[in-house]
Amino acid sequence: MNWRNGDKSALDEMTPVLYDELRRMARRLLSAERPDHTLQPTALVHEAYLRLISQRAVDWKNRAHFLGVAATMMRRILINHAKAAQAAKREGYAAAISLEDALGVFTNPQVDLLDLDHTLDKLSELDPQQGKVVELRYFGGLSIEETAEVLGISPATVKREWGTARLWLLQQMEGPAA
Amino acid sequence: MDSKRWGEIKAVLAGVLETDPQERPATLDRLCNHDAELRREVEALLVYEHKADRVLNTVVAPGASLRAEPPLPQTIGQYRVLRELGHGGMGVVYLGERADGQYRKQAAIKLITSGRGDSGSERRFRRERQILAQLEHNGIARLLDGGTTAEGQPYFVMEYVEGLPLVSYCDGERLGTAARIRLFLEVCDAVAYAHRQLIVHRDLKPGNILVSKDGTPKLLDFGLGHVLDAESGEEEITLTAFPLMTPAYASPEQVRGEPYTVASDVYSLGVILYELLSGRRPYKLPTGSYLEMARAVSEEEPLPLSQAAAQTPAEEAEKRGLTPIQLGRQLAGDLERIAAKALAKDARVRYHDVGGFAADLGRYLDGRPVLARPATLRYRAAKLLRRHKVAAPAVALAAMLIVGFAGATWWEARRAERRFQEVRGLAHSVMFELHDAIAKLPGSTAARALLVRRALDYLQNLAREAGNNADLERDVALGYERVAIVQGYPGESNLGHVSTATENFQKAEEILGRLRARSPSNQSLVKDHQRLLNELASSYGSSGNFQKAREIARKSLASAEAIVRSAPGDAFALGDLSAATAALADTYTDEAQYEQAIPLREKSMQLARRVVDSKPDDVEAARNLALAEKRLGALYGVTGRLQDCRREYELAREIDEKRSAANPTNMPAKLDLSYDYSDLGWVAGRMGNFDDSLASHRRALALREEAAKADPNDVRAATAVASSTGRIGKTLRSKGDFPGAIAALQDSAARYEKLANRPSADGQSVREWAEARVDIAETLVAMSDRKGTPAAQRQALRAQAADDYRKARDIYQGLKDRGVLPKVYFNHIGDLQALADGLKPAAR
Repeated sequence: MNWRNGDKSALDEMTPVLYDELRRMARRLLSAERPDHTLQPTALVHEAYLRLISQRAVDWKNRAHFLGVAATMMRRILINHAKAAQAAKREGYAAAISLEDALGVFTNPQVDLLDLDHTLDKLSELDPQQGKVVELRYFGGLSIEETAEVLGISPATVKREWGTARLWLLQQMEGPAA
Repeated sequence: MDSKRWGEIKAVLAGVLETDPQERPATLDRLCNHDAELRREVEALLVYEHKADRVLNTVVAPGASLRAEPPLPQTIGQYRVLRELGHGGMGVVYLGERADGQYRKQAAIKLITSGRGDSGSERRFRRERQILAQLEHNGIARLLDGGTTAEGQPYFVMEYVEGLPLVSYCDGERLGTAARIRLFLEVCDAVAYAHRQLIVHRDLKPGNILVSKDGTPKLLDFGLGHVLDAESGEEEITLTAFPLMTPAYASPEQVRGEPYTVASDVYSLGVILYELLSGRRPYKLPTGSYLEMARAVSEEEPLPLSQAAAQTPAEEAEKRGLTPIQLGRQLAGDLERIAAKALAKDARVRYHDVGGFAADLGRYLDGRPVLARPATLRYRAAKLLRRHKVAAPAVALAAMLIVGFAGATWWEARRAERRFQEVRGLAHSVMFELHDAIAKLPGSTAARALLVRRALDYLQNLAREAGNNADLERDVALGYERVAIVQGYPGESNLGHVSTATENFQKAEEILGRLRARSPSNQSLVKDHQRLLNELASSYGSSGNFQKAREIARKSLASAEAIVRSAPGDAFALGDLSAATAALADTYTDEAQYEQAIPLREKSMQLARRVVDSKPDDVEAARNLALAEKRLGALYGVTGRLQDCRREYELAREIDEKRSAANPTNMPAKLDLSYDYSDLGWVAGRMGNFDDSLASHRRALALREEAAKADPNDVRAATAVASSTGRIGKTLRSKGDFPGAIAALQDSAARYEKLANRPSADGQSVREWAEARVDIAETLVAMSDRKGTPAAQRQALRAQAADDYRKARDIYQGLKDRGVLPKVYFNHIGDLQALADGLKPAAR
């Protein structure tokens, strides 16, 4: 990212990469009649993001590494966005943000992202590998096989980690405090 | 709950989830083994099973990472698709049969969806198919056909093999060591056959080897690497594809990006044999960065085969009907040496070809002495030889110089000295003056790279001749820095070779670090070294190695802090510390970890303010402070702290106003100020205050127009004007002033068009032009959707919008036809067409 160059606008250089271009692509993906239109909204953002990150003149030589980094970044972007919206709401600007920020329209998961993020951190403390599996699957949108490839473990292990992690996360988020 | 307890719960839970509902109580009984507490905890988790399926699903359908999961295509080429066989790294594999009924034979169709391959793949396939058609071997799945789908995805049709992956087959059949080797020899036979046809595989792994029911191994994907990775041409400069490989089985030369040879296939076969025999892979690959992975593959010596076997879990050894100890004993000695020879890091120490590898395994089976000798000795000898080889010319050169100087007369020595200075002067001028002069020319990046590289060669030679010459060494270091910047420093025009750039930054940093240690009081050396550290951190950051980036940034910060401690209050030292703190912050920003970046940026800003306080008249210091405020403001902005964001920008604006007022002809100061206003406009918009937003954008526009008028050739100023005009348009749209918005957006589009039609225009400005048309189209659509718009007007607006979408599409198409549109934008063409089509009157 070249936003450190002294003579550029800080926001111009920082936000488009993460949000504006993303929004532009996601909006276009959603409005155009595409044959594979059964996508979930967040999947659109993912696709846009992956297109975007792969365009950076970075020599990602290794697909597994790339997918791993992309998943982490995607998690941060979604979480940052959720936090920014929350902060702006506290300052009393919620309306303007949600009107303008199409990203909010496109990411409408059925769980509270901030809550999930926090709970996932707890899981990672308990079991780092399992935490990574959830990050790659949920935020990175990777398949079982791809997750296995990134982590260098077997698909069967990924399946087990993913299946049990989901139950634990839901229990932590919804269940009575243990 | 602690990790251990969770491990226990998880094991039971996983077991229960895998069993059918009616058998679950029994499974629970068995797995919990009367531990009532354990059972209670597992049952409490099972309550969430159905909800998890609904709520916590992956956000993307499985198998879709770079694209959404495509529905099952009906046909691909001449083949009717029957079902999906599986998907992997490159794409999806379908089972299909000839749709034209020519013959009913089934085939596997591999559709490449990973973004790998392009329209060129088909051309390459046509070219290669002659060669691939020659691959007729019982152990190789034949490549039957290939082409590109209507959507532009390359596909390959292969003989369909029904069977199990190599390792699963061996484990399932409980094959012993000798039987495994015999099967492996059949694989070797097929690979050796292909090598004789001059085709290497490039991605040998157990998953690519299927064993059919009758026990014949068959290799898949032979030749695909050939077709997919063959000469990717110029694209390589901007868009690097992932080389076709699987890290766990890749050879050291492969991960280093060196040419792929027969010996690389030998290495991959070595890894397969190792895994097949011992049940383990020769080394564990780190999952962190590419560099770490590449380092492990190139450097980490595999555990001796017998030791690996002895450490293998009992259940793994059991698959061979042995205990780990027995297996370890069986694999010690000859087999261990054979595996080590195949896995030698240095390709020259490996078996020269697959035939040699197979022959040694044959000797083992026959009980004859094998050729593989303890590999470490050979390896060491080879290493020594290699070191000697490199040293030899240098030694010869030194000898020549010594003889030359000794025999030379005083006069000749003087002449040599003068020549030395001349060459040095020329190299210096090429690298620093000529380079800077052409840097602004469009399209000069490649030429600059060559120029700088050559000049650096000269400087290096001179430095070698001159020995301990600090000035010259500094020139060499700065030369490496130049090379690195041209090769791939974000923010400058570059060739996109980020990893080689990182290496060269590293070299420069090492030299400067050494020089700095020798003369720590040399201000300019300290400055150079600090800058290099920050650049190196940034370079690691852009190659995705954030860990390393942070490590270096911390190093830079530590040394800047040390200087401040030794010279408290020194403005230079404070400035360096401010920059180092900012560099560390930026490693977090690159990773979108804004909350970590903010406190560091706050500190950096406070340091910059201290510099200004101690040197109130220093223009440079004032500018640095303004920049620091803006960076911090931007971070507040993206984290939703809009009030804080606005405050920082206001502070920056005050500084820049003063700078601008102090010297009205200072155009850079005017541009800086225009950015302040532009971002203030953004914040005001975010706060819902569109009137303020509009006023700020208009102020920015006025400043930019002034700068553009001062230098009509300044592309940056002209671009800034177009951008401001566009922002004004979008703000007017937010206010509901559609006619005003459209007028401003059209003005902006016209300006971008002019920029795009410069003879030296780059793709970026052409794309901006296209996006400006899209903005117009979207505004027209929004206008047509307003309540109370008469039907006729509505139709007219939509027709006009369709026109603008089409224009945007044509612009992208034009770039694509000229071969200058990066692949990621290809979809825009179809998307924009669809948007235009969707506005047709008939469609409503």
